[in-house]
Amino acid sequence: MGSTSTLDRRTFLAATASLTVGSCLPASVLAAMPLSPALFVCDRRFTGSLARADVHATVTYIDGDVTALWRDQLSGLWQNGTASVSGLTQPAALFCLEQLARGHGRSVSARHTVAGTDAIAWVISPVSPRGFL
Amino acid sequence: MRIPTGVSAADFSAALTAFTRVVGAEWVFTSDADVDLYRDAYSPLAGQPDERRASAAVAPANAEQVQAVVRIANQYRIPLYAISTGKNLGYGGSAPAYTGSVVVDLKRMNRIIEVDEANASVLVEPGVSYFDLYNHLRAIGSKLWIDCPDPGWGSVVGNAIDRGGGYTMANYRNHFESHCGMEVVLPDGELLRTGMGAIPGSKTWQQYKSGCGPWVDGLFSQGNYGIVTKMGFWLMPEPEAFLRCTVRVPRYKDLIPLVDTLNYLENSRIVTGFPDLATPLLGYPPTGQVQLYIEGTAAYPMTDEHKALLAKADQGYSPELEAYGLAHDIPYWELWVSYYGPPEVIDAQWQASQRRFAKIAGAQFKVIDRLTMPVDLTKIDDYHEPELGVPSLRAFSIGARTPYNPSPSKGHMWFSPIIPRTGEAIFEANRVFSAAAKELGMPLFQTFSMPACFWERSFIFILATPVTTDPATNRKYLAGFKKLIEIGGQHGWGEYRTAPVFQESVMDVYSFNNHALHRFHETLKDAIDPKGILSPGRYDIWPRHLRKKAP
Repeated sequence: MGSTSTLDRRTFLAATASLTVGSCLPASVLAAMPLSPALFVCDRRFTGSLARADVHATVTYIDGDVTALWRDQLSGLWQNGTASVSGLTQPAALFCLEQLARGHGRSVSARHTVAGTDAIAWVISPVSPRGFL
Repeated sequence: MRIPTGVSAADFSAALTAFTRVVGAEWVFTSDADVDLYRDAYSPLAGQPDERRASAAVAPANAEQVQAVVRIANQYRIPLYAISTGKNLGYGGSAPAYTGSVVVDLKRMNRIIEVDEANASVLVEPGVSYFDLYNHLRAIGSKLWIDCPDPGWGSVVGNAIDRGGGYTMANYRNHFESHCGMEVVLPDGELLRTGMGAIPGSKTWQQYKSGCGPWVDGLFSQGNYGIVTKMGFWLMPEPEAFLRCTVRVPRYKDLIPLVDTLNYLENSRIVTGFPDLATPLLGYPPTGQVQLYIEGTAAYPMTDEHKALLAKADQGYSPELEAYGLAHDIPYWELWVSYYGPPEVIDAQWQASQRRFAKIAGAQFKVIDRLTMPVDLTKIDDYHEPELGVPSLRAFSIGARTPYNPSPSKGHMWFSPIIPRTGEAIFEANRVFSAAAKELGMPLFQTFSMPACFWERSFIFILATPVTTDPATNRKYLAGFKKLIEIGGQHGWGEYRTAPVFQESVMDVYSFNNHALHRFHETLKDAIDPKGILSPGRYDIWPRHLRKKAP
C-alpha cells in the first residue's frame, strides 16, 4: 500500500510544471482540476517537488501498480459519492484506472501528457447522469 | 447511432424502446460516446473499417430482465453479445464477434448470492469481479480463498466460461472445472439450471456437478448457446501454510526429466501449488514472477560474456553456453514448486519431491518462501499475490515503461497454444514457433520461451503479440498470428482461447473428420437459436443466415 499525505491544487500544478520543462498544462486540464479532490494519486517517480510543497489534500503514492490503491481506497470511494480523483502517473496506471472507472460511473474528464516525460496528469470524474459507464 | 446489418431502423428503434421498458432508460446505451466504451482496448484493428463494434448496449439487473431482453431480440432479430465485465483484454475485451451486435452488459448483476463456508463454495452473478469476491469473503470473516488470474479485475463467471486459469491448486486454478452448477438464459428466453440445480428446491446445486443425464455445462463456455446468469464455484479453504521452493538443474537435456518428474509429483498430489518453469541461463523468469523481475526484486544478472554466448546460441542452446553455465553455477532450468497445507505435511511433500528430483544429476534445491496463514497483506507486494489467493493488477506494470520494457506497446494479443506437458514438446514448440515468428517478422521470441503450467496435463504458451499505433504493422502481426495458428495446427497444437478476430482461424484447426465438431456446433445453434440472435460468430459459430461456408 502506498503511503499518503496531502497536497492542494497549487502543489499539483507546481509539481506538474516541474516536469514540463518549460511547457504548461492546457487550460482545459487546469479547469478540470478539482480544487478539493477526494484523492490525488501520484507515482513516486514524479514526486520531486511534492515533498517540498504545502499540503492540504490527501495524496496516495504508488510505485506504478494500482492494486492496493484500488483494493483499499478507490473501490470503496467509487461505490458511492461524486468526488473526483486526480493524478499524475504513467500511462499504464491510468489505463487500469480508466478501465475500472468505466465500471463505476466515471470517466477521464481531463488528461495531459507531460512533454518529455512518461507522466500523464489526469482527472477522473463521475459521468452524469449516466449509470456505470 | 449505428444499426445492426440486416435490421431496419424501425425495428432497431422498436427493440431499443422495448429494452428501455425492461431495464429503464438509463440502462440502454446508444450514443457513440457510450457505445465506444465497448470497443476492444487492445484491438489490432482500432479505427479501421473492419474493427468489430457494437451498435448499442443494454444492462439488465437480473435474470428476469435478461430473459425479457432475449425475447425482444428474438422478436426483432437483433444480434446480442453478452459480456460479464468485459475485462478479458488480450482476448477481445467487450467488443462483439459480429459488428452491430447489442452488448448485453451484465455488470449490474453483481450479487454474491451465497457463501457456503462448510461446503467451501459460492454462488455468484456474472458482474462479480475477483476483487468483489475477495473483499466480500474478507468482510464476512470467511476462511475461503479465491483463485484468480492476472489481472484480478475480471468477472469470476466470465473468466470461467472463457476457460481462464489461475495460480493456486490444480483443481481450483482451472476456473471452468472448479465451477459447480449454472443458471442460464437460453436463446429463446427460457431459464435453465444445470446439474443438481435442475431439481426444484435442490439442496446440492453447489455440491455435485453433473446431476443426471447429459452434462451440458460445457456448451455455455466459449459458445453462444445461452447467457449464464448464475454460477457456482468451489473455493479453496485457506491453508495453514505455504511453502515455495526451487529445483535447479544444470544441463539442457535435463528439462526432459525435470518435467517428467514434476508431472508425476503433481498428478500424485505431492506438488500442490502452481509449478513455474524458468531458465536462468537463458534469462527467462518464471511466469508468476515476471512482475518481480521487472521491478528488480528478483533477477538473473548476466555478464557480457554470458550475453555474447546467448546471442550465438541456436534455439537457446550451444555447447559453449551450457559449459559456461556449468562453470559458473548458472542452471539451465529452474522449476518453482509450491505446497499448501499443514506445515508438517508440506515439509514432507517437499522432502519427497527432492528425493524424486535428486535423480537428475546436479539438481540443487532451495526454499524460497515459507509462510503461515493468514496472509500478511502488509508484505503481499513481496509475492505474486494470486498464488496467495489475493487479486492484483500488478500485471499491468509489465506494460509500463521501465528499463526492462523501454518501448511499451499499445496492447497485446495473446497467442496461446496448448502443447504436451513434456520437455521434448517445449523444445519442439520453441523450434517451430521461433522459426515461424522470425520468418513472419513477429516479435514473439527473444531466445527461448517457457510455457505456463495452468493445466495439470498440458503446457500452454502465452506469447504476447504487440498492438501498435501503426495500422500496417498491426495488419502484418494479425496475418502473422493467423499463420502461427495454422502452423500450430499442422503440428497438432491448438489455441485454448482467442479473441474474436482469430476465432475462425483457431476453430479451423479443430478440423478432425471434415470439421465434425464445427458442424455439430452449427447443428446445435440452428436447433436452439434458429434466429441466430445470441452472440453470432462467437468461436466461429454462426447462425445459418450469416454463415460463409456451406453447412
